[in-house]
Amino acid sequence: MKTTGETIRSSRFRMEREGDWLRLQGILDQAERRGMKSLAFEDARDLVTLYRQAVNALSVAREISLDSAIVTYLESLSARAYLLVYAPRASVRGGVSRFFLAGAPLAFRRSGLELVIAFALMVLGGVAAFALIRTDPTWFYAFVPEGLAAGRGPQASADALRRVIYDSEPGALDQLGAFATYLFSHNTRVAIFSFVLGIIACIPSALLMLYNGSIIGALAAIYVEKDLGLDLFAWLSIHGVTELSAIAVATAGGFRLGRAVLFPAEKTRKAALSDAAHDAVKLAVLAALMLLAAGLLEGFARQLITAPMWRIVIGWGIGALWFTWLLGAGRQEGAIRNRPAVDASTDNAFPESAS
Amino acid sequence: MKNEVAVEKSGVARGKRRARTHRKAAGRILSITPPEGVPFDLNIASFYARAGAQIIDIIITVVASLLVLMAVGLTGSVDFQTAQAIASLIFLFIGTPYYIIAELLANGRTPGKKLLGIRAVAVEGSGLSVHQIIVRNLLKEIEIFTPILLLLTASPDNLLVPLLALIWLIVVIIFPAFTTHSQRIGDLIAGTTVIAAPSAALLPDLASTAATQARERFVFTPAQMDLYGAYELQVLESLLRGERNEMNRPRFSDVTMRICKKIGYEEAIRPHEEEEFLQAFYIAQRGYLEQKKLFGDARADKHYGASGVDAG
Repeated sequence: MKTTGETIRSSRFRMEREGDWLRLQGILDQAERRGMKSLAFEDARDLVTLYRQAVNALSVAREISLDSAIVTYLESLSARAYLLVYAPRASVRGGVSRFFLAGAPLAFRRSGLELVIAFALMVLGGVAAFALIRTDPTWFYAFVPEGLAAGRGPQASADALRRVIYDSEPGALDQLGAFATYLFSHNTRVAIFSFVLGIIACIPSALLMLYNGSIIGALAAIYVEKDLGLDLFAWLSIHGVTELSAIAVATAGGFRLGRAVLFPAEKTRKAALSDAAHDAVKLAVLAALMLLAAGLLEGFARQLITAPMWRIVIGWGIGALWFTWLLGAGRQEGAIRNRPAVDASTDNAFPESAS
Repeated sequence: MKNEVAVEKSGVARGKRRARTHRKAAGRILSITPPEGVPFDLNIASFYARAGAQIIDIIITVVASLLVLMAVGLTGSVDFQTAQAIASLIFLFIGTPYYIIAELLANGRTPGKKLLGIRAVAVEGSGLSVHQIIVRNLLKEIEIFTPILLLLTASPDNLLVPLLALIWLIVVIIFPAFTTHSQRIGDLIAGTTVIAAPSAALLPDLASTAATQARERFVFTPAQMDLYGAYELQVLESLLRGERNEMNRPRFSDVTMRICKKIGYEEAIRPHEEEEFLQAFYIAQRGYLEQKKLFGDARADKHYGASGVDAG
């Protein structure tokens, strides 16, 4: 029995299609090296057709060809083309504007319950610490770590306490330094941990919120005792409104993850978690932005503006802006319809949490 | 795209159908089924490639951060603590956005990954989404960079936190060894993994390059070609595709001798004809087996059929 190269089916199969494969390979080489935009019109137009042909050829080659070189080559070629054809189409600018116009506000409103709980825990911690220290000032040391207290304590004089609030204007670079140190300070860490640890059934996040609230309550207690309550309120307001909201937002993100772990409903825990992650990640990014804004306010604005009235007005004004954005943006019908699919329970919770 | 399935197989335990057709190096394999419905296998990137790419990316971001830091430093002198805080702040701002934007723009390839030929992909067989890119890189911040920064703060009177950070770092680094797709924690949550970018060249067809003379010189009967299957054919193919040098000569004569003995080829093959003989046999055998396969008679290897005793 005689078999020549021309009569072998796999050779004929290869000869008929080789040109198209090599063309596709050339297009892929160019696109991988210099990006899709560098492709000529004909190449970009034919890319998908050539990809489908290559995938078809792979499927046929696996059946009829015993030439492993063809199968290996086609597998690699199809995989490369697949990764190019099914590449993410989103642009960076589109992603950013979508986040601001719809992503973040909608995620915020879908997490209404978690946000309320986070704020409530913080207030609860604050009130408890305040009440405890009013009855026995030594409780202060139980709540506030030494580094954070920085000389502020029950024994500190009213003058010393006042100096912390109205310290003199440092130079520009010192402000930058203050800003930088701030961002790696206590509160950023609390935000990160309460987001991440939310996954452990919400408990560590809840404790962190209580604790964070208690620190503020403790500070409030000693300042109120020295009749500096309003000054402290103004001092905290200018950045604290944004900052504490950021911590609450991060914690709400953690709670979303924890809720998916605790109550996955009819889904598997993994599926529930990856669904909840869509909103939780948006909340984390939002919290990061808010912390950044709070850092700028604390590093610069708080040093420049010393009048209590202005501190309060600016702090709460900026807070109001955040909430206007988060509660108002993304209300168009289209934007709501285009959001990623989430489970039915959060869909139903959405109108109530918006209020 | 919802009903796609991703099947993961380790390099050792593979489906029976394709067990012989793939002889890739042992390593983890991600099998993706694109919307077109034809699955293909991708090699998962090795730990070393990933670590290398990460180190290159860290070098790029650190150098960029240092340049910015120097620019800040030129505006005035600051004490060490503040400088440290500013440095870590700059690193934070250059770090995560760098990874997210690079992976978005280059479809899952940061400069470091591009250099080492690896890329991030979604495990389900759809394209990488923006959400996945953000999740895997945000978590990288928590998984890798925060512990590294904490490690740098180590001092004799502050050992507990750096120690915890070190333990966490070790857990994060060995974590991928225990997940099916070699995913780190961020990959697992985002539903992504990192693969070696496929790059196979189109090798020449052995059946068309062989000398015509050889095909006419050596003729085989169907009975002689009934003895081998696809596996042996592909072993022969890899031998023929190997480098032609003096090292391979003994292997050619060894294989020629074995084949002649097995199929009962009477004519003696002279040493300089061995390669031609093997080529001719390869072409004849491939044509014969492909024809058999066309009629539903696929032969995986020489143990094909009831005669399981034959083990020559």
